[in-house]
Amino acid sequence: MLKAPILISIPGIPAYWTMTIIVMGLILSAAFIVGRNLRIVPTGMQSFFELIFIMTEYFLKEIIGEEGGIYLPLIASFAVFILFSNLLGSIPGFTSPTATIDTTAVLALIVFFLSHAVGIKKHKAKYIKKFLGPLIIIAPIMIIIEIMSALSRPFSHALRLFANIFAEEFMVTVLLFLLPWAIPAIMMYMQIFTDLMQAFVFYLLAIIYIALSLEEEN
Amino acid sequence: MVKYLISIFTFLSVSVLGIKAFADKAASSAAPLHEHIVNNSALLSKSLFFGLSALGGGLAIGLGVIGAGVGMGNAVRGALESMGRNPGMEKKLIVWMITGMAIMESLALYALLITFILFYANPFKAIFLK
Repeated sequence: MLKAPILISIPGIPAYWTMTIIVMGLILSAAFIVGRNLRIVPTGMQSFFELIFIMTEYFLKEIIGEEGGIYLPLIASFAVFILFSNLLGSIPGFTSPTATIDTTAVLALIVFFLSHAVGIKKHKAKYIKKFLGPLIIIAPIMIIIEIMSALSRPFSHALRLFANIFAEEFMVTVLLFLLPWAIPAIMMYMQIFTDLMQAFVFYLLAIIYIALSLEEEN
Repeated sequence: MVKYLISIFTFLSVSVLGIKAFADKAASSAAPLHEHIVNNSALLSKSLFFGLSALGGGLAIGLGVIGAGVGMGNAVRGALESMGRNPGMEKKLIVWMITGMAIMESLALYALLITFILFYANPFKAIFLK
């Protein structure tokens, strides 16, 4: 398979490990620099981080309700991590950690286990009602369908982010081998839009999955 | 409907026969006669496998994109109609339209994933490359 050259590659270690560590370093240093001198009127980087914070707060209040506030740290860190790791792929010589199924699968599994755990914690034994469907007569059939759909959720959640980021990187690589002049740069510019969009979609679906298992059944 | 099915089957059978003829030609031109008789069935199965894999990969992405395209067209039509009726909602509608389109687009990308699996990481490749 075609592969774009990677700048930092340590033999024996997969490329996405190094890239994940680079993303972590970038986020930590950005957080440190921004957090050192906070201003009341935000400028530059601070306004970007505040935008993510306010947006997450808004969506949590809108979709989950008043009890959604406690998920803010997790969901906002998802947003920052996925956004930074998607955007890292736009730099020549680097590759996105999210272009590997392993990274996205871990993120999706966190959402899967968390959503069911908070559902069980809130509804206790009544949580099984969500899987039984509207009528008690068709419950034996509905439970299989509902469990299948619940199990396929993290699968599609992980695959959506992975396939998008992988496909755009692959497209740039193919163009790089076909036409090495100027055209890949335009595609890489277009990539930024997809990166922002996919980070937003993953983040929104994480909130929606948590909201679905928290809502009352009637 | 039957007409389309007949044409699809005709296309498939013609392509299989074409691959068979191609394999025969390749075998007769590449190998000497005594090797040709021995290797013929192995070569035929190999070329059938790879040819049909390529065909399946192309069909997977081609047919997969149809559904995503229809869905995205519907979404854009609905959004544009409501934007025409109520221009004040434009900003909100564009955000949700693009979010929905990104989710639909990933359906086409699942098909692309199948294509990549068939082309680059075919699980049955080891059986035929022995």
